[in-house]
Amino acid sequence: MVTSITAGIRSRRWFLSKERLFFAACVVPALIVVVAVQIYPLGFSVWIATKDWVLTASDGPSRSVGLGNFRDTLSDDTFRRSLRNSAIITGFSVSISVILGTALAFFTRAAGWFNQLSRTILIVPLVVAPVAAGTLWRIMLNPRAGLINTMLDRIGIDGPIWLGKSTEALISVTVVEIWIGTPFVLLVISAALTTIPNTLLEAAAIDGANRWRSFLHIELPLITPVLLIAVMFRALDSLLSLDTVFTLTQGGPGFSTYTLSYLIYNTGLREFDLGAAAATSWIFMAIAATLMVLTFWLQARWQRT
Amino acid sequence: MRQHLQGRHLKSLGAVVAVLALFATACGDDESSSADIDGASFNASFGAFGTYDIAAENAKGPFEEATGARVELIAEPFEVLVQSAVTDLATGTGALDVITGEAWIGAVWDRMRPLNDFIDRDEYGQDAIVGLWEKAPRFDGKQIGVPFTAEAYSVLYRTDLFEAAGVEADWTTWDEFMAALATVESTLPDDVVPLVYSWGASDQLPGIFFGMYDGYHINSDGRWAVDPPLAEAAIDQLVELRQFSSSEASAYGINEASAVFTNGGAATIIGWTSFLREGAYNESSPVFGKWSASTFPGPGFPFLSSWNFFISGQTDDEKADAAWEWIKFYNDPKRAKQNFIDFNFQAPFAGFFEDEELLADYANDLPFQKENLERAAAPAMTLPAYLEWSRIMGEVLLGNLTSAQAVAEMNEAFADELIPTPLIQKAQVDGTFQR
Repeated sequence: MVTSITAGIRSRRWFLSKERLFFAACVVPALIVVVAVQIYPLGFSVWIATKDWVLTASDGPSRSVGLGNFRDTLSDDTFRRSLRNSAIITGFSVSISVILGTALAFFTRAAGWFNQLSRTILIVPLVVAPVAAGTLWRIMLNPRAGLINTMLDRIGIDGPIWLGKSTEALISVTVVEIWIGTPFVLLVISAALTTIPNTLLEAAAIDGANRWRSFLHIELPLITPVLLIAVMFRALDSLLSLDTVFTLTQGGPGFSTYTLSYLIYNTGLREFDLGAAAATSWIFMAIAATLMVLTFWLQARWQRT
Repeated sequence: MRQHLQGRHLKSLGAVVAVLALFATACGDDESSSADIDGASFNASFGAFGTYDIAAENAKGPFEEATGARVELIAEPFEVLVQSAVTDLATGTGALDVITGEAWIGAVWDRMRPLNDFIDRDEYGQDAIVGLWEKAPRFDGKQIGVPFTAEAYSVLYRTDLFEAAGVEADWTTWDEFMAALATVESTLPDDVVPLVYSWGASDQLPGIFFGMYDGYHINSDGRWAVDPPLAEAAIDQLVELRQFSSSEASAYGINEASAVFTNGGAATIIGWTSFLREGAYNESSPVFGKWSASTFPGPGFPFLSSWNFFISGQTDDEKADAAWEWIKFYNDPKRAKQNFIDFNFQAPFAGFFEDEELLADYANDLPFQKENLERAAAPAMTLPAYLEWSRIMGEVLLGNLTSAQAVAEMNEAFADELIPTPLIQKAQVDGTFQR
């Protein structure tokens, strides 16, 4: 009893202590900002996802539709097509950029001015604004006078009409995503590779392991947790990417490169159907969250084994 | 004494000059009366296109000097401009005073200030192109928008190639136009295609579709829809027209298509003349002096691009007075002519198209623009509805849909969606509402 009273007094003193107040003064403003700019809008979007609200029709939600917006979105052909396109673009661009970024990091790992210069040049796409990248690639993919088809023509290949056909347009968007995303993987993996002690690689070499086997059995397992994080960031980045599609294809031709981000943009900021856009955003967020959970689970599992 | 008198005379003369200068400023041919709006302050939004917005910047100084009013210019990219206007008007925020836009913001036209009192008071718009003024934005019978640009979708052709083929460019229907293309095609050099068009910019496809289709856009239930037999025929015709372009054109945007024409790679082009003028009127272009505009084929209408000035319904009377003076000032015929020379956008006035100085330089272009503008119209659609239809047409060209399936999708896409009243009223005025 006496102990608990003493503990209570001590706790009360600590609660009112200057140190505690100082910490509170530091944390509370940040907390308010987080609540104001993140939690409140998220909560609000949950609320409007259940409402019928087209901004051009009324300045506030007109009626509650429960899960109607979610049902409508999930049964919408354009949503399904957008989901499929997003999955294709993200799946291929992340896989290829991770393989490519890792390989480039591996090959430019050694010290020396050439490798440093190579890394610097390879990282350049990372600092190009996606809008500029999309526009640049649109010019390069011009079937008549673009750089890509001109180069293909030089080696006797009749270049495709990149942005005029469904499959080719989807490939074009994926290629640009790879171009934008690979430097990030290169940067992250390069940093991870530098943390591996040289003694491990030297020991492996003494044991007769060649460079490839050292990478496969020593370096790759050690950088896998970082690699998974890179995959997660790239996947989220690619899913969220609006700029590339916007500048390169505007979702076309037809609906060929319509992605989830583009669909949400179109629904929310062109149609002003805020209820439907909020519902689609939450479905999108569920997909992204699943991806994150899966990555962390894989990472934890990897570290356990 | 003499010096003193001279000084007095000089002072008197100076005073007279000053008074005359003030009078001249007040009565200047394109200046507005400054008495009522001196000290007023308002804002005006423009698309950050490097044209209308720069023209506004050029007009700002003289306007403020002439009137004593202050105008804050807001320049935003197209998408942001539309979003700002819609959110401001829909929520009643009142952040914007003068709003520029087209039918894409038709959903909020009912939140605009009626301009009839201003128009009637100043007898404004008497010189506007016949047909165009009647289609200016209205709500409940009141005019709420004043056009400041006017351009119609056009068919331009190479006069030398058509002459060589012995073909007259006197088409009035799309069948006649395609017959002309078929005849010309056999006489063209290998590196010249009969037609170039921005087939890759799906948002442009309705520009031709609406020229081929002569039916309703809004059905009697108040939903966006098309008359199936007429729309299917129009889409089939669109597919037929596609055959006159190269396969590469599937990826062309407006700029690429314009470049092909101005570099001599096509006998005809369909699109916006403003995108072509810089190249086609350039003496170094192989098509310089060898092209002309023509009558836009029917039975549909040439697509109209006409930017309008609106005054927000939230704007108070004092600001509205000043805003109206700004609209007149910006739209002054002399300034409009200079804007065309500097920025290549056409004014909505008949006088502009009949200006002898302009006709001397643009004789193969402006008369046809005026003729086409008289029957031009913009569809009574919101941007997303329009884009949805555009994409469905794009799917037909990709071979993913038949014309019948496309029409079914077009009619199904908005079957449950109510159309904003201002757009229904617009369709009724334009004659595109199902009777």
